[in-house]
Amino acid sequence: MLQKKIDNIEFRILNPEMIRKMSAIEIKTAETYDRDGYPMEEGLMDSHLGVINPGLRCKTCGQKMKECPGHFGSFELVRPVTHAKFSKKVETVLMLTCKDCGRILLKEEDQAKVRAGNYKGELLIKKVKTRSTKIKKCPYCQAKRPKPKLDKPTNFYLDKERIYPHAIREWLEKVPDTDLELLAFNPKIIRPEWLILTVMPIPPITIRPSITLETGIKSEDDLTHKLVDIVRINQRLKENIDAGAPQLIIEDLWDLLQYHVTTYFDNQIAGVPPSKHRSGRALRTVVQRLKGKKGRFRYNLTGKRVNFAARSTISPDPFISINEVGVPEGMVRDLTLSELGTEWNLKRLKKTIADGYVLSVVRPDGRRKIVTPETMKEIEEELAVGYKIERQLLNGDIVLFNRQPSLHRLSMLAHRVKILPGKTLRLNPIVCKPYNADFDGDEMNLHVPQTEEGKTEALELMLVQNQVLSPRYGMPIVILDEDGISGSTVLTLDTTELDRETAYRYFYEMGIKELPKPDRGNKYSGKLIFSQLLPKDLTMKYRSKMCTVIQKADADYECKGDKCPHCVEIVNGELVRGVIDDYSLGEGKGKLVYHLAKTYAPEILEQFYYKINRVISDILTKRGMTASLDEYEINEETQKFVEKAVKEGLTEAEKLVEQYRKKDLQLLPGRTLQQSFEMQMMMNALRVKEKAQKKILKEKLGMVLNEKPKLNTVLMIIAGARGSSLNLMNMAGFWGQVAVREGRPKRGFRGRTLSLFKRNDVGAIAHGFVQGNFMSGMNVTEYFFHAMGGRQGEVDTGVSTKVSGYLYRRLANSLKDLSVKGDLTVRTSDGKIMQYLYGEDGVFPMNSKKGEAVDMDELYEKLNEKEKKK
Amino acid sequence: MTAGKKSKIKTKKIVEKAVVETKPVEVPEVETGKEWEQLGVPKSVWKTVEKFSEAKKLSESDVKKLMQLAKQEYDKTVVEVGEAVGIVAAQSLGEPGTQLTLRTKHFAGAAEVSVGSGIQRVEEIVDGRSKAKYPSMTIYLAEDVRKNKNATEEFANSLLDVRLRDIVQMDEDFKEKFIVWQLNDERMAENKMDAGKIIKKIEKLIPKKVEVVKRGTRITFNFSKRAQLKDIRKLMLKLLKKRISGVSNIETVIVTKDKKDEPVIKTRGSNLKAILRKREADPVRTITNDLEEIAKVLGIEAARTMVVKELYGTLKDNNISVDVRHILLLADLITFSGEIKGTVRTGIMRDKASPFAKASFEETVKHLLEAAFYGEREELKGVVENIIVGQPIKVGTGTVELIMK
Repeated sequence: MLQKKIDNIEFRILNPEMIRKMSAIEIKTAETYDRDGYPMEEGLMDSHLGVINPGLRCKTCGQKMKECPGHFGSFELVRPVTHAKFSKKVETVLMLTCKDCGRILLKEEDQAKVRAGNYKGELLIKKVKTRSTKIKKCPYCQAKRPKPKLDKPTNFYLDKERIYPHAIREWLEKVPDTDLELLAFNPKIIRPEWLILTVMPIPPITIRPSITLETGIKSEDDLTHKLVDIVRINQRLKENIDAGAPQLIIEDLWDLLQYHVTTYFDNQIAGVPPSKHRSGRALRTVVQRLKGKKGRFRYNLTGKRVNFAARSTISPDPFISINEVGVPEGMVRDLTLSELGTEWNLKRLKKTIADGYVLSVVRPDGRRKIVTPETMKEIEEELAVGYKIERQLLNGDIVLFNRQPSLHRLSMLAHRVKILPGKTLRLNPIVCKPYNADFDGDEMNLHVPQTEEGKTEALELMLVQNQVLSPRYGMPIVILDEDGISGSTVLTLDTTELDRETAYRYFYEMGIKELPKPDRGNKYSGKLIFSQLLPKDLTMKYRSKMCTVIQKADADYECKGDKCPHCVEIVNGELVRGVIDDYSLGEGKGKLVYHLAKTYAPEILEQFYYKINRVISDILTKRGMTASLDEYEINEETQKFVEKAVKEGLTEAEKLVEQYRKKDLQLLPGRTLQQSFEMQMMMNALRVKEKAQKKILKEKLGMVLNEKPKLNTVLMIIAGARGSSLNLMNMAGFWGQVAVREGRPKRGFRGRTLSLFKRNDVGAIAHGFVQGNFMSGMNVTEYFFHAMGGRQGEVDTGVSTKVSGYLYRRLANSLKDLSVKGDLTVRTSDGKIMQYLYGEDGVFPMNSKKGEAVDMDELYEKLNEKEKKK
Repeated sequence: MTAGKKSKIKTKKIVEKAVVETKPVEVPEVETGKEWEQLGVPKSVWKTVEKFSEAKKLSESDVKKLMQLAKQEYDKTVVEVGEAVGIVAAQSLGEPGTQLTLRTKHFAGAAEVSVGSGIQRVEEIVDGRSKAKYPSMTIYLAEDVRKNKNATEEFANSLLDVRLRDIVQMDEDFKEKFIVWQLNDERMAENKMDAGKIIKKIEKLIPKKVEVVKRGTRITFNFSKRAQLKDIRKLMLKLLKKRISGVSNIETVIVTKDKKDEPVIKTRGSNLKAILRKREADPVRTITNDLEEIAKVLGIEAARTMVVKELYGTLKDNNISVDVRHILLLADLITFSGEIKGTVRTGIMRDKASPFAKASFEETVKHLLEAAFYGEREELKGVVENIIVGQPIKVGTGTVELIMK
């Protein structure tokens, strides 16, 4: 395939000659269309400038709309005007050259000195300026040196007298090339007089198309409007000059022309009133088109629109593989994929045609044939090597799936198509984490790679099962969470037993042909079912989340190590004890998934997920995971304990207030009395809450840790699926201290937070200590304080996303050109070496063992194994 | 310009001095033979295996086998050629950005000096801002001071930047042309200062021409009737600004203990140069969070290390796990030029050669005009540049080309 490739692009400033030379037509009239609606000859919409109507042909190149790129025209200004964007450059030239002879105002010897420095750009000008300041007369023609001044953005003054662009231009023309070098000009490519405009390039109409509204009224582009202004004023200026009008009028018109040209380039220059549309909207001219987030660069050039894409709401489907995406039937026929006929796939392609999946066929000569029920037979027979079919999406096709914001590379992964009824895109909930997706109305995009290279790359590099590990820290990120964890925990609880019928169904779902014997009399234990999912050579031992949660709640509890019924032990692929929870499957902590992902082929983990999902879904639906109000009601004993704790806390707070009043409060190092007091009040409140929290959790643990465990919030907490004892506390206990800006609420009225407190009350209750909870409710003041805290959280997330978004953009822009080269060095795109060996050891975090290159314990084990075999 | 020059010269002096006063740091012997290179693993891997073997007391043949195994494992973890490590690093740091807290941290419990944490601090480091918003030092102490609690306290207090205006209460009487200074006892006690010593110090500061009467903690200035009010004011302001004790910029000092229960001094405000010169401080471990200062005083490599340390620490405090390698890459990039250059338009972005890359970041028009004026050439080597013109980018699978005949 021969393809044109751009090697490099040079930037230049157009000179007048060039503008005329590349012009397809010289514009002479301000009118755009004649009475019949045809473009005026030599007008701004002249058809020599390109075509914007389908069907018409370009008068310059003779091509149709899609082929003709458009052509530049030119426009002669009667009087030259300054280019506002280059007026600063002009100013430096005027400042440093002689008005009469155009030579640089620098003595010969100084010139040599500056040249020897080999400075560039701004620095060079600075050096020249410092050496030139003392010169009052031109060293070459002895002319007096005037003081030029730039009145931004376009007007120049010479010793307080206005100097007009034509005079400036004449002056600039005189400056010799050798002197320009000292003014940071490169005379080979640019002359200063080009910065004063005498002729303007007229952009092709393809970049400023007029739109015909439904009413038939033609609406012109902003750029065209501005160009019309320029041409019109230019015309008037010309007429006035020809008629010998007074100088004053000519100068006024000249300034007006200058204004229009200035705003044509940039309509947001400080000091220049923006040019407005009839409706009062500011015009979007050249600079506005390029600039900013919605400008050409960021909106159209670095982000492009694509074909072969679809978008829809997503919904969960735990019964499809993590590698699959459920694509609705309605979508499948609109998304096409082309396949080239070869001698190896011809048979298959013919069958797809016969099955009615092919939409059209492209012959080797480029002619396209639409497949209809009538032509189907004929086309099928005609199909030969070299033909291309365009068919709808089929099961097993590889597609890219993406959710915005695409914050990391795992936001776009490859899936295999699974055509499903319905209208939403279906996603296995296990893959929610990398996408950061949920199902409260999220939409996702789907792209269909068209080329073989694209498809292969997607399959090999981007398929979900190959991206299970996060490149950020080398841990699995495609993980079970929430209900997935709860389900696994329910399944592996000691008390979970399944009758034979259910168990057999699960075995069938898992594809197990040899049935294990029931281990609980007539029944199967959940652990046994789970064991079927594990590879037969897996042996592990680690602590479970459940164990840590219990320990947290109960000071007397101690993990019994090898005999702890909650901690996990897997021997040769059999779960002998423990529950599978967050510490087995969770993100960053899940030891089991980590091991599966690291040690085995990706398919093992994929199958593990596929099977466990089926079992879990069934178990949870049959048994019912639910929340009920009694979970958030506490028994009398606990209630009393909590009340007592609050009471004690409040007395303690009063004590602190007293000490604070008397100023004998113990100061914390480096803090004032006030700060120490606030701090201790916060800490006191925290202590009370913690105490009560533990007690409540301890009571609630009983709901799960018994013969007939309830499947509820408490189980979720224990399993680490969602929520924590804090949430339980907030619902059943009390809210505790509200924090606003890292401290107790203090603003509001003078000397108090709310008008129903006494002035200067610094006590706990007056400053946001909330005794109420979500179950029994809060009183008015508490509710208000709680809202204060809630609002701060809301504001924080808003600000935080904004700040971090910009931070990310800058990081990405700075770092994006770094890549690993063949010698494992990290270099920028222009070859600067950033690191001699990536990460100082060449290890890619995604492949690392918890951040290290090698896991010594694992190696040691391997060594011992080898010895044994011998 | 001039300010920059000045500080550079000063820096040089300090560095020399610091070296003279510090105990020579033990330089590890130049290692002979590079076994790891023969094996084909980096030194760090070799060392890990060695250390492990020593701890387990393995036999020589076992160590050898272990090395081979390590080599096999290592080979599996090596980056692939072409990997867009820059983008991955940016994503790894940017993606969890929303999880960063907005708050400034006020270490509850063991009260310390408040330090910007969360997103503000990350931004500060990444931007390479010249001044940290919450400059803070952690001063480790020389052994004799460390063990003596009183000495530690004394040293800490001696660091506090106290100006005359902080402890003096001034009464002016311009009619009679005299001014009274009264030492503020409360303030003195706060800073643990001795009135007698202070008075003596003040005396030294006062120019001889001025007539002074002192009584206890009160000093009276008598000016001649002809003295200009303006001159008196000038003199007073100048005097009040004088430092009577401490190190400039050190606003608060707190003695606390570090994680290993060793007493350290935490400060708000930072002055690394001056502190390093103090005999009581341990110049090896004493550190500031002001990166610019580190770069100036200790050099760019020290600053790079500190960037890594600070960033890693802040992220860790916010419970975000990011591999060090990503941070290392960023640190290497921002310190590449020999000075700290942030990921801002005036830093790294300005140094990029490509006009397109610059234009698509910020100040689009300015960069395009500049490119046109100087006749710049877009080489289309980077990522955005090729996206803009619609060509395959040259990272990842785009590093290689396939020619089909």
